Amino acid sequence: MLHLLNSNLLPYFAPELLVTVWAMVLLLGDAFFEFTPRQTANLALAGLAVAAVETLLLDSAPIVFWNGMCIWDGSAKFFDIFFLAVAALVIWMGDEVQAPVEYGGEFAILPLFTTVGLMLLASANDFMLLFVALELVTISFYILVAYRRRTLAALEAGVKYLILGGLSSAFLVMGVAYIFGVMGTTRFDVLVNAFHGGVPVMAAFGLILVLVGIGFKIAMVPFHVWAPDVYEGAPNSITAFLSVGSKAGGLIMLLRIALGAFGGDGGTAVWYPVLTVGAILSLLLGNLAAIPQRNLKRLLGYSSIGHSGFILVAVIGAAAALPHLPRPQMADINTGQVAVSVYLVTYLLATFTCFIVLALLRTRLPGLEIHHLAGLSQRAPLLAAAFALALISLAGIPPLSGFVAKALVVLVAWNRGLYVLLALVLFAAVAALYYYLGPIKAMYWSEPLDRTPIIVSRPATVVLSLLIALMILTGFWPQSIACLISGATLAREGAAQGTLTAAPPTPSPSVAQATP
Amino acid sequence: MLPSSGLAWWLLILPLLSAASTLVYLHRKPNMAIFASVASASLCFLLALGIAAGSVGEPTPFEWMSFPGLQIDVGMILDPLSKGMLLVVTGVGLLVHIFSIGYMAHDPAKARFFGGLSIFMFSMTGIVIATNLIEMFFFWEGVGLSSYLLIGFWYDRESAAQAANKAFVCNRLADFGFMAGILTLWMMTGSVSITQDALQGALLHPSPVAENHALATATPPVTPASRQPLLTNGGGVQQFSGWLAFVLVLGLFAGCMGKSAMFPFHVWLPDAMEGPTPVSALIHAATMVAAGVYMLCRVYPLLLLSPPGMLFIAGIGCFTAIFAALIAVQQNDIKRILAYSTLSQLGYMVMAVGCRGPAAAMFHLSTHAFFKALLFLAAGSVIHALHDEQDIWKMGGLARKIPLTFWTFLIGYLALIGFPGFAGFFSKDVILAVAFQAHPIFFWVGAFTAFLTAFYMTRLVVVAFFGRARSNAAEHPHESGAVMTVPLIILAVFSAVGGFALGIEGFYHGWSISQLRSTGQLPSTGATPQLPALGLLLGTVVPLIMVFGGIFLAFALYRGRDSDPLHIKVLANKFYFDELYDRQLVGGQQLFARFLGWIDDWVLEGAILRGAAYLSVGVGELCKLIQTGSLQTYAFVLSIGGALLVYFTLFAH
Repeated sequence: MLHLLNSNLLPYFAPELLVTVWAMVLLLGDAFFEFTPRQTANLALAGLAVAAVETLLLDSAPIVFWNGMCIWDGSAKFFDIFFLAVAALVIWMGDEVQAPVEYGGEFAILPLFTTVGLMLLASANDFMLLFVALELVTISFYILVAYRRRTLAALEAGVKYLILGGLSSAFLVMGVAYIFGVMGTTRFDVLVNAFHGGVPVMAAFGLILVLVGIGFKIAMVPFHVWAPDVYEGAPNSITAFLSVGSKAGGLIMLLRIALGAFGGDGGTAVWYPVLTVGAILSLLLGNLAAIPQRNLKRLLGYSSIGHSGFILVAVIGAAAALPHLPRPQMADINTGQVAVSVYLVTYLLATFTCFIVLALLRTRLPGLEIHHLAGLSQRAPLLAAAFALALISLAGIPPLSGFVAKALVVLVAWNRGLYVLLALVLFAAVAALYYYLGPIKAMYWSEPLDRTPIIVSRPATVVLSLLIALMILTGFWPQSIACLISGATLAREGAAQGTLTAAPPTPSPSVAQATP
Repeated sequence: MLPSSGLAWWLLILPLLSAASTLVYLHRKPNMAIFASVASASLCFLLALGIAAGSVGEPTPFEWMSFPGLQIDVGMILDPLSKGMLLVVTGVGLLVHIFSIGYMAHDPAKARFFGGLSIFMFSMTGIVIATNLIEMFFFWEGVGLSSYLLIGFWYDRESAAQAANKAFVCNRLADFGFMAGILTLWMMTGSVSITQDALQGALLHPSPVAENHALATATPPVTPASRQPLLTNGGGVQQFSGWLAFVLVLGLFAGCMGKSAMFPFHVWLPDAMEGPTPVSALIHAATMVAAGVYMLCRVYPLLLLSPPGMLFIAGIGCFTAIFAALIAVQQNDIKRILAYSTLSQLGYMVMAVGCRGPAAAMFHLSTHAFFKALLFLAAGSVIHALHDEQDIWKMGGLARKIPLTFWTFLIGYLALIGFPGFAGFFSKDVILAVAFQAHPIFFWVGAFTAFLTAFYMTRLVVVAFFGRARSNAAEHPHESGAVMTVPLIILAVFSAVGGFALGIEGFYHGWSISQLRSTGQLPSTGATPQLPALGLLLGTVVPLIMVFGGIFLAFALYRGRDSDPLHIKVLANKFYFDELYDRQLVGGQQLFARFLGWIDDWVLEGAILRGAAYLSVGVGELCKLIQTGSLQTYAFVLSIGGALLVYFTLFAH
C-alpha cells in the first residue's frame, strides 16, 4: 500500500481510493456527527465529483500494474466515468426525489461502496480482483435492494436477489477455479497467450460457468429470472442503479473476459454460441414478455432484459474473429466496442429519466400501472414529456439518442455478417414499439381522473430538463457521444499481436508492463 | 482556394435565430418578428453577395457523425452552382419578405407567417449548401415542413388545411424514394457525400465498400449485356451494374418528383395556392419547387451512370411540361393558371437535365425564379387590390387602374412566354436546343408547350387587364403601396435583362463543364462540346413562330369577351386527376381499403397482434411457469440454463 502511494501509479488507482476513503469518512461522520441525510448525500456527491475530475485528467494509454492485477486503458476510463455518473444520479435521486424521511444517511453512502466495486471491475485484469470487486458490488446491492425492509415487496426482492446472486456467484467462482486449475493462472493478459491450439475442455467449461455469473448480472435470458421481481420491489433509484450500473458492470466484465482473456480464436469459439443464444433469447423474451405488462417498473424490467440482447449483439460484433465468418477489419471491431459504449450512454440517459419520473410519481399517483398515467400530460407536462421522450429514445426512434445506439448495433451486425441476429434485432425493435407507445398513449390521449397539477421541485425540473436536452443533443449530433468515448477501447493482446488482417487506422498500442 | 472562415455559417444561423425567436417569444410582438425576419433575410442576401464575389469562403466542415463505414461531415459547398442558387434564393427571398410586409399588414397572425418564412429560408439555404445527401435530406424535410405550415397558414379554412395535408403526403411519399436513392448511393460507394471531390472519388476509384462488402456479392453476376460501357464518353469511370444505377437514379429522381411536383406527384402544387400569395411566389414558384431540379444538377454525374434513367427523367419532364400547359389553358383562377405554368416550366427544367443539359436547366431555373416570383407577386398585388378576388373573369380593365402592377405583370408575362429579348426567351432557347440534341420528340413537344404557354398567358392578360370591368371590385381597385411595388419593379428589371445581361448562362456552362471533367465524364482536354448549330437555329426560330402564333390566337379568341368561348371539359377538370385520385379514395381505394381491412383484421390484428398477444400471453404464461415468484423455481431455471449451455456448447457436437 505504501509502495503504491509512493509510486507514479497512484493516479490510476486514486479515484477508487478516494471514493473508498470518502465513503468510510462519511459512515463515521454519519455515526458521530449526526449529519442529516441531505448533508451526507451532498458530501457524497462532492466526493464523486472530485473522483470524476481526477479520472478525466488521466490519459488512456494502456498500462498494467499491481503485479498484473489491474489494468488501465480507454475502456477502464470510460466505465469509471460512467459509474461515477450513475452513482451521482442514484444518490441525487435518493436524496431529492424520494421522500427523505424514509431514508437514512447510509442510503447515500452504500452506493459509494457499490461504485468502488464497479470501478474495480472496470480495471480488473485478474479473476481474483474481479471476484472481490464483484462481491463488493453484490453485497452492497443486497442491502440497497431490501432497503425498505418494512414493506413485503422489498423484503421479497431482497431475499430473491440475495439467494440468486449467491448462486450466480457460486457458478462464477467455480468457473474461475476450473480455469485456474487447467491453465495455472488467473491473469487475463497471461491467459490470452496461454491457449495454443484451442481452449482445453475443462477451461471452456469454466468459461461457461463464468458466463452464467455474468449473464446473471446483465439479466441475460435464461439468467434473468430475478430481474422483474427485484426491479418491482427495490426503491426506484436502486432499480435504476441495477438496471444501468449493474448491467454496465456485467458488460465490462464480459468485455474483459470474452474479448480479452478469451479473445483468441479458440476462446471465441466457446463463448460465441453461448452469447448468441443469450442474445437471441433476451431479444425475444425481453421484448415480447414486456408487451402484456401493466406495471411500469416490471415493464421497464423486461425491456431492460431486451436491451441486454441488443448490447450483446454489439459485444459479439466486437470479437476479433468469429467462427465461420470472414475476418473483420480493425475498424469493424472498433465499431462493435463503440456501439457498446454508445448504447450504454443512451441507455443511461433514458433509463434514469424514466425512473426519476416514476420516483416523482410514486407518492402522487395511486399506483404505477399504465392506466394510472392517464392524462398526465395535463397534470405535469414536464414529467409527461420527459417520460415520453425517454420511452421514445428507448424504442430507438429518431431523432433521439436511442436511435443512434440501435442504428450502430444494426450497422455492426451488418458489417460482421451476423444476419440472423440482425433480423432479430429489427424484429425486437419493432415489437418494442408496441409496449413503449402504450404509456405515451395513456399520458397524452387519455383523460385524467384527477386534474390537480403535480408540482415538480426545481432541482428535479433542472435535472430532467438536462437529461432531455442530452437525449436530444446526442440524437441530433451523435458525434458528441463519440467525442466522449473516444479511445474507449480495450487494450487487447490480439489486436496488438497483429492477428487481424487489416492495419488498424489508429494503431492500438501494446500493453505496457509497469513493474512496481 | 479562399481561406476558410466561419462567416458563411451565419447564412444558416441568422434565419434559424429569427425563426426560433419568433416562434418562442415574438409571436405576440408582430413588428419585432417582422423586423427579425426581414433583417435576417437582408443579412443573408448580403452574405450571399459576399460569397458570390469571393470574399467569404467555405467554412471548415465539422464532423457530425463518424463511425467506421459511415462518415458524415456537415459542411458548406460553395461552388458556382450553389453560389448562383444562393443569390436566387436569398435575393428573391428578401424581395418576398419585403413584399409580405405590405401584403400581410392586416393579418393578425403575421408573426407566425414571418416565422414560417424564416424556417423556410433556413431550410432552403441548407439544401443549397449541403455537402452530403443526409444533410440535404434534413433540410429537404425542413422545407417540406415550412411549406406545410405556410400552405395551411389560414388553417381555419378547410381547403387550406386539406391542401397542406395533400402537399405533405405527396412529398412524404416521394421522399421515401429519395431516401431509398440515398441508401443505394451509400451501399454502392460507401459515402453519401456530393462534393465534387467525393463524386470524383466515387466514380473514378473503386470503393472499399463495394469491393469488400457482402453487398458486392449480392448483385447478380455481371452479364455480357451489363458489361458494356454505361457511359459513352467516360473512359475509366467505375462501372456499376446497370440496374443498380437505374435504381439509384430513380430513387434520387423520386425526391425531385415530389419536391418539383412532376407528374404524377403534380397534384399538390395547384392546391398549394391556398397559402398566402407571397408564399406561392417564394416557395411554390421560385425556389422550393426548383430544389428538385437543383438537386438533380448537384448529383448530375451520378445520373449519367444510367442512360435509361436519364431517358426516364427527360420523358417525365417533357410530359409534365405539356400536360400542365394544357390544363392551364382552361383555368380561371389567376393563381392556378400561374401554378400550372410553374409545373410546365419545371417540366422544361427537368427535361433539360434528362437531355444532358444541367447548365440549361439552371439557367432557366434562375430566370424563371425572377419572372415567376414577379408574376405571383404582381398577381398578389392584383388580388390585394381587388379584395381577394382571384377569378380572372371577374377582373377586366385593370391595365389603366393599377398601371404599375400591370406593367410589371406584363414584363413577367413577356419573360415567361419567351418574347424575344426577355429573360425566358434565352433560357427556353437553350433548353430546346439541348432537347433537340437528345431527341427531336422532346424538341417538338417543348416547342408546342411554348405555343400553349403563349396562348394561356395571353388569355390571362387579355381577360384580366383589358376589356371592361366585370365586377364591383374590379371597378374600384387601389394600387398597392411602395413596400409592395418596389420589389415588383426590381424583379421586373431582372426579368427583362436576366437573359443576356447577367451572364448567367456562361456562368453555369462553365460550372457544368468543370463538373463533368473532374468526374471523368468528359475528357479533361480538348474543345468543350458545343450545341449543334441546327439545334440552336431551330430552338430560336420554331419557338418564335409558336409564341407569336399563341399570342395571336389568344388575342383573336379572347379580345372583348366576357366569358370563355372555349369549353374543353377534360382540360378544365385537369384531366380528372383529382377525381381519379378521389375515385381511388372512394372506389379503387375502397377496394384497397377493404383489402387492407382484411389484412388488418386477419393478418395484423389476427395473426400478428393477436398472435403477438397470444404469443406474449403464451410467453407470459411460460414466464408465469418460470416467474412463479417461487425462489426454488428461479434457482432451478438458472441452474438448468447453465447446464444446458454447457451441454450444448461442449458435448453436443
